[in-house]
Amino acid sequence: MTEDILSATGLVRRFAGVTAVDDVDLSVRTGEILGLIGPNGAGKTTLVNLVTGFDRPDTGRVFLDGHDITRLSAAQRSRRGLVRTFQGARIFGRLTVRENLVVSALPRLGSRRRAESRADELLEYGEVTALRMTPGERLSAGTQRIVGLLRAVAAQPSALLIDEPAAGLNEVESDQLSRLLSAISENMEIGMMIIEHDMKVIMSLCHRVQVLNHGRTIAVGSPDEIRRDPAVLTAYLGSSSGNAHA
Amino acid sequence: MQYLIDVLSQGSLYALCALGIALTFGVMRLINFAHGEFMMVGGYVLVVAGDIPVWAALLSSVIIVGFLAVATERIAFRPVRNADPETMLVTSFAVSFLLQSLAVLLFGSLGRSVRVFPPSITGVMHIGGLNIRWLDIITVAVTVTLLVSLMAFMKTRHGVELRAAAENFTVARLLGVKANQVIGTAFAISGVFAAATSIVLAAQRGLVEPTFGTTTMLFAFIAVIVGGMGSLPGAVLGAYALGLISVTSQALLPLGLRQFRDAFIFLVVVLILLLRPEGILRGHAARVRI
Amino acid sequence: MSLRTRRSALTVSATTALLLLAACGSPGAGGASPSGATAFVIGYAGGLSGMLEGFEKPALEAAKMAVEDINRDGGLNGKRVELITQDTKSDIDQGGPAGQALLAKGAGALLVTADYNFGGGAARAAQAAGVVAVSVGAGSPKFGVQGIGPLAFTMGTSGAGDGALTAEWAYEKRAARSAYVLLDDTTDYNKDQCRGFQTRWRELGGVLAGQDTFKNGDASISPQITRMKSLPKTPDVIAFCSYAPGGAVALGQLRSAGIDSLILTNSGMDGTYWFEKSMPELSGVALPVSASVWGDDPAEEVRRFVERYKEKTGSQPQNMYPVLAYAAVQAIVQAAKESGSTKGADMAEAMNKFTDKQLLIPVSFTKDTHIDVRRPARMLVLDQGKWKTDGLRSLKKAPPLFAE
Repeated sequence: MTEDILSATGLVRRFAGVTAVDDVDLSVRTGEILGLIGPNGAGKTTLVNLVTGFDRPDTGRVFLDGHDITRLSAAQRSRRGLVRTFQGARIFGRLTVRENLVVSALPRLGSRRRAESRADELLEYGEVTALRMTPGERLSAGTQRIVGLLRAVAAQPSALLIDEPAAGLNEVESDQLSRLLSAISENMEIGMMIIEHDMKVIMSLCHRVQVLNHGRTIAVGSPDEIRRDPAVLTAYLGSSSGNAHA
Repeated sequence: MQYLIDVLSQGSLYALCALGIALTFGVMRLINFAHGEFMMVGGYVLVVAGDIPVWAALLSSVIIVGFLAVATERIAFRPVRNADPETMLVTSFAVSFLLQSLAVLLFGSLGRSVRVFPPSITGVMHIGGLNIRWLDIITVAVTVTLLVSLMAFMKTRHGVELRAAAENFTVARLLGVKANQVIGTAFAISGVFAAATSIVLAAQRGLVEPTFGTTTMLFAFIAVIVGGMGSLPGAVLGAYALGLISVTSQALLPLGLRQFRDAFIFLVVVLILLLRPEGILRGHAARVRI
Repeated sequence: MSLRTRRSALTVSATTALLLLAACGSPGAGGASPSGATAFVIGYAGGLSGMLEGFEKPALEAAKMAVEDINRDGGLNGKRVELITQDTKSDIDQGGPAGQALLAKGAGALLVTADYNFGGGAARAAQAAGVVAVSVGAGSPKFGVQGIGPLAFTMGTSGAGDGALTAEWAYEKRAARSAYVLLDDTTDYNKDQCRGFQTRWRELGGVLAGQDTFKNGDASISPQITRMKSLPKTPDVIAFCSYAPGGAVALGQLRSAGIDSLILTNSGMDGTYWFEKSMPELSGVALPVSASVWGDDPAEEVRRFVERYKEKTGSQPQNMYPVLAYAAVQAIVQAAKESGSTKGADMAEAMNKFTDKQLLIPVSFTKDTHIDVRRPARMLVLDQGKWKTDGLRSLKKAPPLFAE
């Protein structure tokens, strides 16, 4: 347990009689990328909300770096190093790319100068330095996604939740994003959890994959193990999701 | 040409007021109807200041109104920050009513005359057949100065945080922007703009009464809507557009229709909103939030 | 005259009516408790708080003085006269309920706000209950048979008459020949004033150089000034139909733009509060009033009353409304005495017969006209920041009370 940067045990969340998340455990180690997959309605979004503090579990607990954070708000969790990205990036459209990163880096680094140099480093890292003075709203969807990711990293998180990074991106953009994600994972001390429909992204990027169905964990393992797991195959074939072919 | 000066002067006054309203709307989605009363307090500060030097009177107005705005946020708006917009609106009405009642209690409802600037700079200059009031120049100069300062501020650390919070408060908070601090900053700046508006308005009117700020605030509020709720450049644009509409309708409407001037102004506003429902510049308020 | 509707006050009152109700649920009745059969009760329904407070509180003080004087002289046929109050909070919608509250407490006559809109509600309540209502000074002829009803009266004078009077005065005494009409079209009184002026000005043969309108809430009348400045010649007089605060704002802007025409206005611009700091040396403003409070009224009783008022309240009245309120109480009591009855219809009949009745100022009504059209006006002229009375004047030819 102690080597997990982010973990949860026995999470349960019910909505009006429906158990959306039913006794789910999870764990992410520093330097690891955990993939979270499952058919539509499997409980992925609810689970992410429970972990990030947008929702509270009925029972179960969430730990960050060994500390119980179950009762903390999303903002408090964020301050302690559990940062998330959002579907569709949600970068600030009226702020420049650089300012987007500066806002995120400021709380940790304190001074504007240090936040700016951190931002510049990351812009270089993400190969978007040329766009640093461009307002967020002028960027393409793919670049917005990259900036959203860099912005999250600028906060120097110890654990990062990435919500559907590849949704709506074309192949080139999606590859670029995957490369950036694995570079971040290799070079920074971060535990990452990715929620994604695109199996190609999940299978190429993740060290481990956890599969949810009907709110329960039906399999955890390496991408190869998951690909061969009969329960996973049944879950995906039984649903109408078209992404199971990978 | 003479009318152009009138447009610039009137538009600047609306712009000063509209920016104050747009700032707090931006971060809090609060339509602050007490903004007019912030201006009123600024006006009474000038009345009470009486014969102290002009710069000291202006400075005290700015400090007191700025402080009042921050204190109002602290006492009245913070407890309802997460309530629905209607609750915040009613709260702002309550603050507005309270401040007006207080003014009636302290100064009576009749109003007090006030001279803000010495007579030497309240006169008229004649330049090439144009009559330019010193006050028009002051109004435009104050607006431009504050606008440039505001733009510079928006590039600073607190400015960037303020803009981020105005665009998406939830995400900004998750990124560690401190809600209290950023909202406090917005109110302080809003207070400074209210004070600046009150100085120009008091100089222009020569009289301060409990409803001193009400009409200007209503027009500025319309400017904010026309410009695009929550967009600061929009507020400025909307203010000058409103100045243009109101001056031209006063100047061009035939006498019989002139008494319907305000109705005419609102008609044009409605037409603009029909063509561009989100305002001239689309504000963030219209966008989906998390 | 009237305390005019203020657009801004309206907005505020409309939007805060709810808050008001919530915040101040208890009806705030003040004054002595009525003692029924042994006393004759007069109810005062007025804006004792809110935007009309500056007009109504001084008027209430004067009404109290009248009641004291009457009781000292033996009351009304042996009965004490008592004054009770109900605050309308300067809210038009509170007028009717305030009137009803006073009637329920046994008021035998009402004093109401000096404005048709703000005072009309209480007056209508009185009319419905068969009780006389006297407005402290509304300038609307609708206070009477043609409007609220035969039991409603006003101590004020009409807008049309006031406007016509300034036309005659300016033409005859100041030899003015060209006029500009500047109308703040926020209220009917203002419109009546400008209409009365124009009617008489044309009859006298004066030139109308132009006309324009503005609103009381306008922060600036620059476009109007620009238009006026484009005239080949500055007009001798400006018929200025407005009231403070907006009127004070507009007037200041005219002066600072260098327009120094004689300004003809109305009692809504009486007072020194609106210019003493901004334009301490202001001159060339003239207006007709029923009484001057500036120490030089031609009538000794008025001068003495103003001195007493200052002694009692420690403040200089800013307009004639205290004088009118004092006269209104006297009118009510006089009507009850003369008719020997405290029934509304009987009192109204007695008041209809008032002709130059001396009640501090002369008061005249007829069966059809419940607004005074006979009372000689004092022309107040502002000179170097001081109001001075330029004699008494009566209208030579009255314009129609109502617009066609």
